[in-house]
Amino acid sequence: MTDSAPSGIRVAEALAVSSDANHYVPRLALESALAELLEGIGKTPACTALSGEAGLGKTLLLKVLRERLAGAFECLYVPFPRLAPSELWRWAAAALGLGPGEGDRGAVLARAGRLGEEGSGIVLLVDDAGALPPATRHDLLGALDAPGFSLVLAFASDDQPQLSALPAWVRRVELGPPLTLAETRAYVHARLLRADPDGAVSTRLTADQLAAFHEASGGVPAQLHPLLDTWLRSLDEAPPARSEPAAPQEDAVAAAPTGGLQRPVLPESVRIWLDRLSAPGVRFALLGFFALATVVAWYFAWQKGPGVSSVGVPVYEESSAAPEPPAAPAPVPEAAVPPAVSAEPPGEALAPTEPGPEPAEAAPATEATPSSTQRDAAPAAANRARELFGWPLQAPRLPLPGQPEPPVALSSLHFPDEHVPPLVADAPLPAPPAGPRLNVNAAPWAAIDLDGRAIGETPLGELRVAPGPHVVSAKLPDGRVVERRVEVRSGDVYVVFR
Amino acid sequence: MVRAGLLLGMLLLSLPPGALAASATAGEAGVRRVEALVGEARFREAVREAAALRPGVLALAPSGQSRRLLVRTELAAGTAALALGQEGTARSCFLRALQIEPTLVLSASAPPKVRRVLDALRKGGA
Repeated sequence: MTDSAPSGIRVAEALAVSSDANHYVPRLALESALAELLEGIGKTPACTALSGEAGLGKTLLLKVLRERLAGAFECLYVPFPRLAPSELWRWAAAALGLGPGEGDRGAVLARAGRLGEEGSGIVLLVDDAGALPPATRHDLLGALDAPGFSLVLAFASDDQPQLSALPAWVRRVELGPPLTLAETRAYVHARLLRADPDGAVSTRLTADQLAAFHEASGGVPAQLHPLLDTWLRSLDEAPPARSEPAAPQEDAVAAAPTGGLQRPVLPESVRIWLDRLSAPGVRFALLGFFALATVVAWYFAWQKGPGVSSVGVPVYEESSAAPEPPAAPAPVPEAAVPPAVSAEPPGEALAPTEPGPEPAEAAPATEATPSSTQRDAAPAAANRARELFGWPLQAPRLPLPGQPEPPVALSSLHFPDEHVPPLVADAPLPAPPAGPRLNVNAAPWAAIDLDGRAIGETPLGELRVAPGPHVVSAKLPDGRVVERRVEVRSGDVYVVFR
Repeated sequence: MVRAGLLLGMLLLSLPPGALAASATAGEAGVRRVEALVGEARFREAVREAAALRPGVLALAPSGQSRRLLVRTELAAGTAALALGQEGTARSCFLRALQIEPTLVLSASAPPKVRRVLDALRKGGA
């Protein structure tokens, strides 16, 4: 900032309230109104009444409309229409370059008619239409019968009586609500960017200040600009330190003539606390602390190992720490499973794993006794399971040595007896059958026939088939029957029905 | 802005190692691989892949996502084992899935073969 040309003041001058179309910042409400106004030009009825709260930008909108119609229509902007009919038509004729005469009205309308035949016309944009004398208003509405003549009347919200006096066929367009906070933010930044491309000033406008401006102005641009103007001019009076921009700006906002404008931000104590956090020393100290904490956390995580599998719940592999690692039992036919005690085949998930007997014999669970290692590991396992998966497991009550282990019923998946049976590894898959094998699946599923003989429902894997051609037929749930001819020679053949 | 960045940095630095999304993403890819193998009728490969995948999924930080990954692993492995005629292994897988997710509900398109085994396990009448 220099004394001769303080950037804040320069920007403030550029941000003064203006209806210059070059300062137009599009937003939804304005664009919607413009679209409706454009829709009404050159059509019947060719009169549109634009109304809206004072300061929302009706004048600006008319000028933007004039720009958008330039080339297609001849537009006449009437800034203050408190004129008698003859005066208004004289003014229009002069603006159109028509010579003075008794028939100004006729000359203007004749020109409009000629333009109308070419697809164009004359558009009269009347600002402050509430100031139109009734006779002039009546005359203008009467002129709408002429082809090629359109009228746009802009009324303020306090011009309701004049607006109501318009005929019902006049198209009415309501200029939308005031700016929302987001629109205010976009609007201010857009305007500042045009006046201050380097961003020297706009970067000093905080979100809190913007919110305060929005609240004080009610989202009305005409009320927003004086606040911005005051703030911008105050920047040069009290240039803030670069590292602490908040305080001077806050003073500037407080100094704005808003009648009770206050910064709706964090409580003072919180703000002070946050300011202290921003101090370089504190910042580095905190970063150091959190970096150290992270290193420690990583170290402990590394020390703890890979997680569940190392503590045994659920254990899918034998723990190397077990003094007598139980051998993975071989798969047993279903008929060999003791149904009342444990529905699992030996060696499966819930079978107690007292090492010793032949796995294939499937010692009943009621006779099993956990090893000391299992007793020690079980509480930790339960806690780890709860920690990891939220299982409703409690610290297990293990049977005393020599006493039978409580039975584990499959109907009780939550193990209410508080015992956590160790899970053993799944039995390894047996070797695949020799010779050609057929693997069939279907989406979602299907009943499969092989060479006309039903062989079951999918999924079906590693079915031994004779070498040679076969017909695989799938009956899908939707009733479709799909056939596939496959040539099987050796190894696996995969057939998928979809 | 600086304060917000500072606080965000602290938050990221404080995250436990298990919270890294990469592991969960890898787990998701692995589970999808197993499910795809089942869909392609490559059941034996699916069982092997699932066995290799389990430790990694178990090592994930406890979360709803890791639980779901584990359940999907077990369901896919159980389905593959069932296809291979290894009903005991299949029930073991399904039971683990039920332990992790007691309210597990299969989709309507699940094969009846799988549904029957799972329902039997749920009712406790294997």
